[in-house]
This record gives sequence, structure tokens and C-alpha cells, in this order.
Amino acid sequence: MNVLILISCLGLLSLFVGLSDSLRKYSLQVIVAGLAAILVLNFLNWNLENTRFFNDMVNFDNYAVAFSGLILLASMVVFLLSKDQFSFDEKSTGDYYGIMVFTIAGAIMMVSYSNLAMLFIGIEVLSVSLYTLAGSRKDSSASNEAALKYFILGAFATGFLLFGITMIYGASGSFNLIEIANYVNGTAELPYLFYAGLLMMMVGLLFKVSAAPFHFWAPDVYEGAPNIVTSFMATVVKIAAFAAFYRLFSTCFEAAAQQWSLILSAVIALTLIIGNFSALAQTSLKRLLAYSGIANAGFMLLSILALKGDAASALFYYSIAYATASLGAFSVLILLSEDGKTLSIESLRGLGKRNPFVAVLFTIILLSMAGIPPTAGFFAKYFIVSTAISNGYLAISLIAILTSLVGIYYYFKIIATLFADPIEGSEDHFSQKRSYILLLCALITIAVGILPELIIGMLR
Amino acid sequence: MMTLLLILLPLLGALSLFVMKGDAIKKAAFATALIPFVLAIGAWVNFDAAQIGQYALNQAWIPSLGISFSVDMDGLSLLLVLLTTFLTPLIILSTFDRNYKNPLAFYALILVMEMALIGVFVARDAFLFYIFWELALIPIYFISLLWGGENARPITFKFFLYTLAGSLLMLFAIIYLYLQTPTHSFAIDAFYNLELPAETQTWIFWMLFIAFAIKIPVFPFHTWQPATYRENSTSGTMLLAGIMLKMGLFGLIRWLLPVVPQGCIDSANTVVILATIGIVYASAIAIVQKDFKKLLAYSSIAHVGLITAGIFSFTDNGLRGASLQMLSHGVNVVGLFFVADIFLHRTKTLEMKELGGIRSKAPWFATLFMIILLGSVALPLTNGFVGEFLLLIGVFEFSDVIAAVCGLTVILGAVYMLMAYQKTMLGETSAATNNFTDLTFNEKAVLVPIAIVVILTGVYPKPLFELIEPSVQHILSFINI
Repeated sequence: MNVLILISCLGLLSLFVGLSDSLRKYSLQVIVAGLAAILVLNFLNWNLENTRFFNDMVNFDNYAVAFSGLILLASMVVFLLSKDQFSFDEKSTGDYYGIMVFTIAGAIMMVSYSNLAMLFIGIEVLSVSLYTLAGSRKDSSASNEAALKYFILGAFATGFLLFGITMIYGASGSFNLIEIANYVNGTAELPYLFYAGLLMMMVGLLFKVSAAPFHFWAPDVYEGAPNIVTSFMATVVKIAAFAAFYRLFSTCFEAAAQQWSLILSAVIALTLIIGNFSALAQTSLKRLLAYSGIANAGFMLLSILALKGDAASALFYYSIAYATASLGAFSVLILLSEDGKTLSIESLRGLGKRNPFVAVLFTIILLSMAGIPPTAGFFAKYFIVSTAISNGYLAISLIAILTSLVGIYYYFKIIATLFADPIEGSEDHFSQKRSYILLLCALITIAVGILPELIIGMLR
Repeated sequence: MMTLLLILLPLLGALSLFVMKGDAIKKAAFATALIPFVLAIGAWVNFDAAQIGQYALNQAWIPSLGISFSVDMDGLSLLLVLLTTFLTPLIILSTFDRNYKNPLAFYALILVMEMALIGVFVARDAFLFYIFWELALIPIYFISLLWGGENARPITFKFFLYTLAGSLLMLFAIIYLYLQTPTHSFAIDAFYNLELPAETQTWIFWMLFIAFAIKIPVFPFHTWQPATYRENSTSGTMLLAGIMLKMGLFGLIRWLLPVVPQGCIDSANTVVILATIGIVYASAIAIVQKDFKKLLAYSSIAHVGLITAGIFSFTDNGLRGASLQMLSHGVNVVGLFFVADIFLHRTKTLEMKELGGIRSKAPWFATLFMIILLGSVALPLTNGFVGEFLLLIGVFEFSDVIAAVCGLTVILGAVYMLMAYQKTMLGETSAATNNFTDLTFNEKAVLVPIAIVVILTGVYPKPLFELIEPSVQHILSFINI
């Protein structure tokens, strides 16, 4: 609860800092320090006795604290990467930072809600901020296109979500998760109104996590938005959306699982296949990361399908592995791409010769994305698949495992390119300064991969 | 503790290379590879089969999911650890007169590979086994890709994806088996004690078998193999053929037979027939090969086909023969690929018709090549004979017709190997071989130990049989119920 208030204050603070020319250059330090303080405070909420606040609108149980912690941590890394990334509009830097912090506030609402109204507010706070951020590069048509596309499609999805919420309210008579759960568990034959609502909420949420067939916006928006905004969307936003998705379905809709599990299975299969096979054809690193994000969404949805047992731990662990690897990959993208140009995979050729340090670290990140032990990516995939199998979803798990082979192919193609002989005269635009974030991500990837017990015990 | 040391030492060795420069890297790599070999010999000398869990180490790793860092060496594991630790220093030594680019990364990868291979052979926890199994693939991927020939990239990709596809099937099967254990454990004993219904056993069998068969490779999963062996650097091929394919054979014995015995019995006919087709097919192709390295690749398919057939005879002789032949094949094939490397290095060609008359120029080379070749064609008193003889008896006990076919191909093996010797070593010297020089000191240092092992194992195999006998009996106790 205190976290939510403080993060909103931090957003206001960064707006004020951005106002004056003399203070603006400190805005990054202020935000990172503020986030660090809030992160510490967040973990003081661990194992709270009374977790419900604001008339039971939010519920800061351990699930919420764990995901808030991850979101804050990932946001800190994104901010550390963001130095000079808004240089195209120096004067408004404070605004962009402020909007990003508000996005985090929305994300934290999404992981801690216990009322559908709160879920909706969280999603809207997050989405509206993101529409603005995606279009922050006003002089670039790609950025404008991204913002518009995201906004129009996002508004549709929000409409679906809201429709779903009202229908569920109509059937159950409440917005409160516990009461909806009681209603679902206590009613022998649920009305069609309820199922229609459930389906609509599902569509809205599937759009937010960019699952197929609601994924079409993702590659274009990822590509058009400034790098730093894309890295923010791919990690913080995605994790928040999944946490919200899982929270809703595990609390309220478990008893109705028979009705929706088949639809969700089809969506997962489609997401895995489309995500992985589309990624094969990509030549731009950023677009490839967008499609690999879709493929990863397929894996994460498996935890919502499994729902029982270790599913929450599996989702949390996967989120950590995914966030670490993605942030590592985006830090490479940010390190290497020239201002405003797309970075092709081919331009990475020979990086192993020119800069072995970065190449080896990037290889570790890619191994994790491909799911090769002993990195975190392997254990994450293993854990989620094993949870799904233990809940009886054999066929879909087999599809997940086999499509990850396609993933391995394109990740290893990048690795092969990294270490291929360089083209004469090519060089990298490079700032050695920020490769420490890449190093950090690579180290976390291996540490978490070798000692998963540290994480999976948290949410049991 | 001993087992843990064997796993960790190569890794530490690989790390220590990073402080070295220039020629010191090679030497340090060789020295660090020798230490595990000495340790393994020590473990063999002290080995006491009656004492179960003599080298065991069992440390909880991810206790909430029933995963532990559990390693141990029984006779079979120890045999393969001996093979790995014996061959790795030789493989490193074989590069001493060649200049590989970026030596630091090259030797570090070989040592990491050694660590992963030892891990595979000693793991007693299915999850740990899988981790090492996958880990072994990463160094060989880079070795093939970066130090391979011109066409290395597509060929490496084919090999890599092929093997990984198998691994992923295996992962699925392992997770399924884990969920069937009453206490949700990955421990090998929990897997051995599973009693699954016959239908489940059948599909689990095929998932695991395909994973192992791709690695071995068993016909019809062999298509990646010849090109990969041909295009790889010599060290890469040695690692693949000498040690890595033993992972598959070892997997069959350790993780397939006792886990799904009924599935094995039900599918044994199919497997033995596939293996036999592979033997005949590969031998026939080997006869018409013009390229020496490709000939070795196909002869390797024939040899491992016989080992597979022997394993699936489920007899004492078959399994003992398979274990011993794993050792012999590893040693011989590394020797033969080094011979190919010497051809290539001296004459820049592997076409056998361009060679010839080398024996008169290089007597040391000719003699050592002959000894290893005789081991490979299973002449009595060489290592190949002991293994193949037992394997044939095992297959005979399974089916006399198939044994007859396999026996014929042993003769074919002798035909193509001796023909190869004749073409390359005897007759008139050619333009390519006119200036052929005899072995250098380093080259002798590789081939002489191999020749000694070839003869020693052939003349006095008893200690090795004593080493593996209890393991073989243990495995068989699950299958002959």
C-alpha cells in the first residue's frame, strides 16, 4: 500500500525536477534512488499479517510483494539504461521519466488488485502512459505509427475487458475477487452471461500480453517505439500483465477451468507456433526480440493453464529469467544501435572479434533465451512445463517443448553470426560504459539458473 | 569427493587457462587434463565393487523439487570416466604440432567438454544427467562452428538441432517419469523402481531411445553424422566419435534398460533390426568411400550399430561386450582420426587414391597405424576382438540369423580397412606422398599410448571385466524378471 503511494509521489517529484534546467540533469539519480528506497520498503511488506487495504481494493500478499519487487528492480535497470536515450527531446526528459514512473504505479496496481475496478484502473494508468511513451519521438513517423496503432488496438482491448467486467458483475453481483470466487464455487450452473464475461476479459488480457491471435500490434509497436520504451514494454509491462492475468484466473475462475482451458490451450499453441516461426524470418534484432517475446508469452500462459501446484512460483521464476535475459538483450541493442536506426542481426557479424567481452556476455543471454542449461532460461522453461505436465496438460507441453527447438535455431543463428568472421571495415558504435548492465544480467542469469531454490521457495 | 573432483578439475583447468599466454596455454591445458586421468586411475585401483556407493556424493540441490546433486561411480561409470580422461589429454596433445586459431577459447572449450562428459557418466539424478547432457553440447557446438571447415555452419546447425530435438524428447520423458515416482524424485533408484504399465513404457521407451539413438547414431537417425565428422576439426571429430557418442550408448544401458524394461523387451526386435540394417548399410557405403575420413565415419556407424544390437540382446555377453567395445571403439577411433589428420597435414588431401607408398617413407607411422587398424578390424589379441566377439555371442543368443549377418559385416570391416591401408600405405609413392616425413615426437606421444592400450586390452582384458561385471549384473537384474 505504502509502495503504491510512494511510487505515485515519485512520479510527481520527477515531473517537478524536470521543470527546472538546473535540476533536470539529476532527475535520473533522483528516480533510481527513489526506486531503490521503495524496493527496500516493498520487501518490508513481506509476510504482512493484514494484507488488505483501501476497503479491500488492494491485497499486498506475498504474491503482490514478489512481483512488485521484480517490477521495481527491472524498472531500475531500464532507468539505468535510459541515460541519453531521450536526447532527441532534452527539455522534456523529466516528463518522459515521470510518465515511466506512472507506468510503474499502474503495474503495481495490476499485481496487487483485489477488485476488478482496481484492475481496470491499473491497466488504464499503465496503458495511457505507454501510448504516450510509444509516441515520444515526435519527429519519427515510425514512433507515431507505433503510438497510434497501440492506442487504437489497445482501446479496443480495454473495451473488451470492461465489457467482460460488467458482465461478470452482472452475473455475480460484485467486483471483489473473493466474492466472485465464492460465487463461482457456490453456483452449480453458471449462467451464459458469466461465461461471456469471462471470455471477454480473457480476450482483453490476452491482448495485453500479446498472445496470438491478438499479437499483431506487438512487432510494429516494439519496432517503432524508442529502444528504451520497447525494453520497458517487453519487461515491466509484460510481467505486470501476466501477474494480473494469473491473479484473476487463479483466484476467481479455477472452478470454471473446464470451460476455458481448451480455448486457452489453443491460444497457447497458436502463440508458440506463430511467435517462434515468425521470429525465424526476422533480420532486425529488435523485431526478432518482439517475436521472441510473443513466443515467451506462450510459455508464460502455460502457468495460467496449469493454475494449480507450483504455477505461481513457475510464473514468477519465468518472469525473472525472461526479464533478465530481455534486459540483457536490450542493453546490447541500446549499446550498439545508432540513434534512430534499426540494428540488423547481420551487423553483429564479427562482434566476437571486435569486442569478445560483449559477445560472450550476449551469448550467455542468448543461451538463456534458448533455454540451455545451466542458465535461468532453461530452468524457467523446465519448471513451467513440468508444472503443466503435472496438471495433466501433456500435449500442449509437448508442443511447447518442440517449438522451443525453433527458438533454439534462431538464437543460435545469432550466436553463429556473432562469432563469424567480420566484414572488412565494419565497426561498432560503442560506449563501453554501459556494458556493466549486460554483465549484471549475464551474472544473474547464471546465478539464478544454478541456484533456483532461492526463488522458487518464495511463493510456495 | 573423488567424483566431484573429477568433475571440477577440468573446469578449474579451463578457468586457469585465462591467465596464460602463448604456448603456455597448450601445455597448461595438457597438464590439467592429465590430472583427472591420474585421479581416475587411482579410483580404479582402489575400486571395490562390493562396496556400494564407494565414490558417492549426494547433496540436496533443489530440494523442493526433489532434485539433488547426486553422483557416483560404479564399474560402468568408472570405465567411461577412464576413457574420457585418457582420451582428453591425447586429443589436446594431438594439436601440439598444429596451430589452431584462438587457442585460449579452443582448449578451454575442450576442458569444459570433458567436465560435462564426466558429469554425464557419473550422474545419479535424472535432472543432473540432463543438465550435463545438454552442457556437453555447447562446447562441441562452438568447436564445430569456429574451428570446423568451410561448410561448417550449416552442417553444425543440422547436427546441433538434430541432437537437441532428441534431448527435448528426453526431457519430456524425464519429467513424465519424475511425476510418476511416488515421492516426486529424480533419483536414479526412484526411476529404477518405477513399475509403469506396458503402454506407457512403450512411448517412454521411444522418446528416450530416439534421444540416445541420434547421439550414437543408430540407423535411420545417422544422417547428421558423416558430414559433421568430415567437416569438423580433427579434435572436434575425436571428441564426437571418441567420447560423445558413448553418451548415447551409456544412456541406453544406464537410463533406458532398467527404467522401462518392458518397453525395451517389446521393442527389442525393432531396435536390433534397425541396428543391423545400419551395420550392413554403413559397411557397404564405407567400402566405396574414396575419402579416408568419411570411410572412418561410416565404419564408426557400423561399429556402434553392433554395440547397440549387443545391448538389446539383454544378455550378459552382449552387455559386457558392449561396455568393453565402448572403450575400444573410443580409443581406436581417436587413433584413426589422428592418422587421418596426419595425412591431411602432410599431404593436404584425404583422397586415398592420391596417397600411397607411405610405409617406406614413415615406418613408425606405418607400424602404429597398422596396430590401431588391426584393433579396429577385431583381430584376435587386439582390443576390438574381445568386445566384438562377446557382442556377436550376445546377438547370437538373441537371434542366430541376425548374428550371421553381423558376423559377415565384421569381415566387410576388415575388407575396407585393409583396402584403405593398402591404398594409402603400400605401393608406389605419389606426388603427394613423396616428401612424407615420419612422426614427430608429439605425434608418437599420441599414437604410442593408443597402440599400447590396443594390445594390452586385447591380451589381458580381465581387469576390465572385473570392473564392469557387477554393473552389468545389476542392470540385467531389472530386465530378466
